[in-house]
Amino acid sequence: MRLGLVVALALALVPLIFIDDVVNPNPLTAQPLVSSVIGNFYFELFELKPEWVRTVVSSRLLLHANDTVLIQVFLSGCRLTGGSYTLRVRHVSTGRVYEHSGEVEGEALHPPLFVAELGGIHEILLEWDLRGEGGCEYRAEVVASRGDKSGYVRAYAPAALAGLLLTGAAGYAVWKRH
Amino acid sequence: MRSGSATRWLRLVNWYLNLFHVWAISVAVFLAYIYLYDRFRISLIGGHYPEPPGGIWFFLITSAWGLGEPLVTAVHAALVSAVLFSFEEGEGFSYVRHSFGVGRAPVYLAKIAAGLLLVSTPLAASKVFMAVVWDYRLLTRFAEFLSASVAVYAAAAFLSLYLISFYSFWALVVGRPVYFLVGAFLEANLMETLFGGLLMLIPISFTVFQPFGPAAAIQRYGDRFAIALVHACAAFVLQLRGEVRWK
Repeated sequence: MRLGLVVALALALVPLIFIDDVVNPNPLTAQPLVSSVIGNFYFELFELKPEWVRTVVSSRLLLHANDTVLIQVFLSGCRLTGGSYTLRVRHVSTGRVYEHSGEVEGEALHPPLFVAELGGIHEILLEWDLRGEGGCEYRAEVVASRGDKSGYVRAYAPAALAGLLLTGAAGYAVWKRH
Repeated sequence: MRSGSATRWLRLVNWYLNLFHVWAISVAVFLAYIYLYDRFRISLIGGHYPEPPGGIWFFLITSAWGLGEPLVTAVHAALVSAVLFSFEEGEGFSYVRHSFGVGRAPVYLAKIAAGLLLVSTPLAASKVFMAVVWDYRLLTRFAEFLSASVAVYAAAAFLSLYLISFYSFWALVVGRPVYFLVGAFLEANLMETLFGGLLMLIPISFTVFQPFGPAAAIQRYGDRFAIALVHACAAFVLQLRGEVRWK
């Protein structure tokens, strides 16, 4: 009976290992995909109007310290005479706001790379004000990438070492008693 | 011979402590869930509306979800159901019945309640733990945190009830080797295995941890919940008639 239980549990672990490798891929064996496209490809045709402020990207992201967000917007099909944009990132729990304004260069918007200072939920808002004529189609790409996490390893290493020593001592005590 | 009230309570405490390994497994499962949730996961929370449906805390807590999680929940529910319904520990409930003079129905309900507590607590607690680790500064919105935690706990209890309904019946009906080989292995039970096993549990688990989770899940997967209800009723009838063989 016990053997059946042990065999069942051991075999139940096999699919778990495979699923876990899908969820948390091993960086040594995984494909060299560093960043993940968080999404938001918009294809939309619209007519340019004077002094028209429009929201391009508005989303919330759960980021961790040193994670990066790169937004790129490409326009096509219209004759632009100029325009400006504002990128505003708000860290929800502290209310900190990071803001950048710039001009539209050619037919693309290239806001700077955002590097998260704190972990937590960030609200990302990109608005533009375009001048020109004709119908425009645009594509917005938001790519969020994991930043360097080696600081966490250094921070957690002493605690992990202490935990290992304590667990080892407790295991040794249990073993000696039996 | 009737023993004193204090002695009865002490025996009850002793029996409860004998269930220690079941509680210890729940702690281990909590750690397994934590391992499955990616500490540095980046998740997208939909924009375009002022607040995500269910509130920002609910979204943060339910961001802790993984493909391996339903399998761990199913295996844990299978173990706990076996202990409560077909191992000698489950007989402790019969002792409680004789000791306090209650009928079989309350004992069955007590077993179901214990199963729910054991299976859903690590599931909900690990999600809440990860959410607090991810953004502890959001705890300033404490009322929202509490209501979201209660909602997630209710969703986890709903999922556990769905699984325990199946497992309690099969633990009562079939022998232990068959139960563990069919139940724990093929994830849910004979019925669900016919429909595709784990692949059936993942969408239910995914739907349950949404703002309108249990209601939406019943609407979408009503047939499976009906089958679960039939299993639970059959187990209830078996318990009421006392036709339980300890295997």
